[in-house]
Amino acid sequence: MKVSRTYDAQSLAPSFYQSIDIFIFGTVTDEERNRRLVALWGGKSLPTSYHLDYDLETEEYSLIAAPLGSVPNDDSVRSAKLDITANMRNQLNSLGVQGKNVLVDITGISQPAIFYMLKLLYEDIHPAHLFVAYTEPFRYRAKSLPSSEDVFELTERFIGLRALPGFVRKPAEGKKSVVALLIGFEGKRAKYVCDTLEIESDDIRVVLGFPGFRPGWQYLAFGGNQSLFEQFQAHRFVWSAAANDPFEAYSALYDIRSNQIKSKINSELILAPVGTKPHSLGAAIFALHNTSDTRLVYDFPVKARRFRSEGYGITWIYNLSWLMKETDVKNSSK
Amino acid sequence: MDNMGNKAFLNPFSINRAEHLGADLYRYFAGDNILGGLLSSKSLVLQGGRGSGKTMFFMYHAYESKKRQHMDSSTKGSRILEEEKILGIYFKAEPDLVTGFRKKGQEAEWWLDVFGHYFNVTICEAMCHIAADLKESKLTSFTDEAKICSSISRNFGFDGTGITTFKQFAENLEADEDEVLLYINNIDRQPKPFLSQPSRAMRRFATMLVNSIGIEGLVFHVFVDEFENLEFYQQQLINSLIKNPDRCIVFDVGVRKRGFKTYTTLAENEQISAWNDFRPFDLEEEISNGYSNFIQEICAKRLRTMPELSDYEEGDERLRIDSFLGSFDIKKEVDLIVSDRKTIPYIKELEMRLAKIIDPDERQRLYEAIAKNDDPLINRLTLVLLSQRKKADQILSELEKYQGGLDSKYKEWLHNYGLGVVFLLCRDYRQRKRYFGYDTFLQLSSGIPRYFIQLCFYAFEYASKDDNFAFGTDNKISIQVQDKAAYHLSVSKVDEIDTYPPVGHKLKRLVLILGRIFEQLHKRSSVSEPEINHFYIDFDAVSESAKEVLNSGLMWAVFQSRPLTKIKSKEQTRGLEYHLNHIYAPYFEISYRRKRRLDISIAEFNKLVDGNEADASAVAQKLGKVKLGGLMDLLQFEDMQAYQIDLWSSDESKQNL
Repeated sequence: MKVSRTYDAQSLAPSFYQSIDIFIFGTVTDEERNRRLVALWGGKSLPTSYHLDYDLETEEYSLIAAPLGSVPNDDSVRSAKLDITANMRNQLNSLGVQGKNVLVDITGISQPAIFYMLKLLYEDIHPAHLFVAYTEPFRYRAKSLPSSEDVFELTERFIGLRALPGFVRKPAEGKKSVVALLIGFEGKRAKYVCDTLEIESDDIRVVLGFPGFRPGWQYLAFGGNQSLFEQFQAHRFVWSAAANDPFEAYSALYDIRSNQIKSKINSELILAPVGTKPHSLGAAIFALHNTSDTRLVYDFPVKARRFRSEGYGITWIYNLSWLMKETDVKNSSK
Repeated sequence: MDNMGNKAFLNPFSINRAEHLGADLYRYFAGDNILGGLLSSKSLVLQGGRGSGKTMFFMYHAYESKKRQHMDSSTKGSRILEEEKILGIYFKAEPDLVTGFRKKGQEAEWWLDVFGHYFNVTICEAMCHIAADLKESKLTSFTDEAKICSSISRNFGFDGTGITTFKQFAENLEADEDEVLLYINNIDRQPKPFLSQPSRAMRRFATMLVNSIGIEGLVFHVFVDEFENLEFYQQQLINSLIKNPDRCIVFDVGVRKRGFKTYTTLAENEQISAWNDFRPFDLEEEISNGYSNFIQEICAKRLRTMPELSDYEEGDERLRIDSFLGSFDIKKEVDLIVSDRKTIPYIKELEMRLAKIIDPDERQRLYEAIAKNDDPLINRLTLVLLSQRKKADQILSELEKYQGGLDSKYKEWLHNYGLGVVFLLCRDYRQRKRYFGYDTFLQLSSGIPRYFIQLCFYAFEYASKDDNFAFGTDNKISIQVQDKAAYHLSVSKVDEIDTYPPVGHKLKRLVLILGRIFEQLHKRSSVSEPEINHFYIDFDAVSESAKEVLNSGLMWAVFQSRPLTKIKSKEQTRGLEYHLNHIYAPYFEISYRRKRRLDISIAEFNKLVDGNEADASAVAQKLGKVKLGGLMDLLQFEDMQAYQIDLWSSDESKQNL
């Protein structure tokens, strides 16, 4: 059956919202766009709603019941913290996610928590339907402290490359490491990954968000990564995928891997999602589909809570139901 | 070929990491005379910042590299067992792997068993590969292979009877390794794997293999690289292995400065200490005496890989990097600074200073001496001397002697203030300071070979693009191109500081503020203290946050510490002075030499690190001795785009010509 993958949340019929049993959202930053989906939801239905919070340092998360539109206070979040690898599977099982229609708004959830939850939903706990929502920013705030070539104030500090819960892999021995960087505005993140993993210039592939969320943003992303392109000569291998489309990002990764296979170079593909969240989503699914020769890495940026985006753009709903059951998305229909 | 049909330029400096040099890495290894003999029965702790050569050293001494190095072309076999007493195993503590052995609802003590087993498995697997390769290459027979495999494999819970070859053993260990990772990724549902006792199997395995090979003094060395990535308890495990040496297996460590989280071992109240338990070797410090020769050797090996230079014998002048870069020449730089402006920008200031000389005759003679002198460096120096309120008659008499070719204090003044005056000329003529010459590049690289290689990479790259440089036809890199390379690398190094975890953002703020302060101090008219580019701070007394920033700066080689050279006050009885890595000098337009120091008080330093906007800028203003603007101005990062635009449009501009 041919089904659409991506929907504009505003254009969805009330029946979509009414069909959702479980809604999971987060508020890692206090951006306005984190509340956009709930506003669109209005009073169309009242699903069981959970607030997900994740601490990058301690690898602890909390998943607390919160009526639609409300956010639990800091004390409740703190007291509900549990180790993600040791507990989340059991908790999702006990919440009855299996066989339900689930919608996860990733706009305000940290990437490592998104990745780990996807892993559980792909490998173990299978919802009847899985939808993921993402709200674009209207614009990002310009930096208040202009201390680098970056244009926007997105990251407060970096914890640095470290193990992603659920995705710990050893580097493939005797294989060439090719890194696919799904880049965003912060060029230094991509450069840091290449430096730390010690990737050779010829082995860098770039997925650029084009078209960007707004006209011209792809140039900012390209400019922000200029020193990466230059130092590693990475401008020779650039793929484009719409910044808001996880499926296009997936397809780009698929192409990159196919090229590697065609060139008969025995290689592992390291995925570094350092750009948009929809691209991160595509990368995580790709990593789950290709466990034997891919490695998902992440640089753990601590988001600037106060200085990120202003307003909101389009809210997208991605239908991952069929994707989570397949292992090859390339030839699947749009 | 590029898309214009031109032959692509081969840059011998395009690879700046040991990991990328491939199987023939040994061909590029330099410094045998400095680094030879470091590996012994005592563990080695090799310290140094990024790019200082730790990985190169270890990978060069690893089995695979040594085997290739000793290939005998006539027999097509390797002479490794005849030439070497060390069988090296390289273990890199990958940050996205070793940090997987933490949290997940368990304490460090629990993780010790799991990681200890994983490490045991990994090292034994590497030993299996070496043993299998030695056997396959017919370098040794291993008649007792089945017995060794059977015996050691029981440590891992295998039924020893089924494992009779090293290859089989390795396959089983690899499966074990996968099982551990599967477990830590799914700790809530996977059964806990069988865990071997850390270190026991690898020690026994090493002993049995060495005995079987039967070569006196043969020993396995395990090189644990990027030790700083290990968790606290993981470092304790390695420290324990260092503390308890073994005849057949030695553990060596590659670590960044301040990369030890602990020196304790797993035993209670036990620590490892330098010289008693390990030999410390600081690459940045200890090779400083022979650094130039070391760099020459590294570069010559790379230059010789160019087809046009491959016929030159080792030691040939044409393989010397200094002949490509030339030397820094202060006169050339001054000529470049003053060349496109006929009027002298500091003339009014000079006239004003001369007007203050009371004796009209003296004033006139000095005026005439300056007027007939066409050396801008000397004239500008004379103005500096007047600003320093040196006596006019002394200046006049020394200047006349100097002009007459006689012994003069001007020689000493030039030595002390010469480069400082160049910075002033740059200010006066609104020019950027130029960085060029082999000796300049050497000092900019701050004892870190990778920085030197990167400087050369950009220099040759720009030379090819801008000057059509080609090996075989050209043997000089222009000043403009060298300067462009230095500036470019410097900008990119400053830019990346905030990606250095865990406090990169604070580190960058501190570097930008200090850099701006030093920049202003280089522009002071009197040059009473020229070339201030490092600072003293009492480390023990600063705030915890400032300590963290300084430590992190040392770990990432943003700062380099050296024992205090000149005690200026009673309080400075001990401690270190901190040098901003000289690679940042072109960005801030400051000196790359170790000259003068700025003493910063504890309160001031704490404010520079953590102070609010008003406090930090007030301190910067006080230290820089001029109004520097607010924090926003201090942190203004120069836009790279404007500078880089020519890189991306160079082809077009060439076509227009």
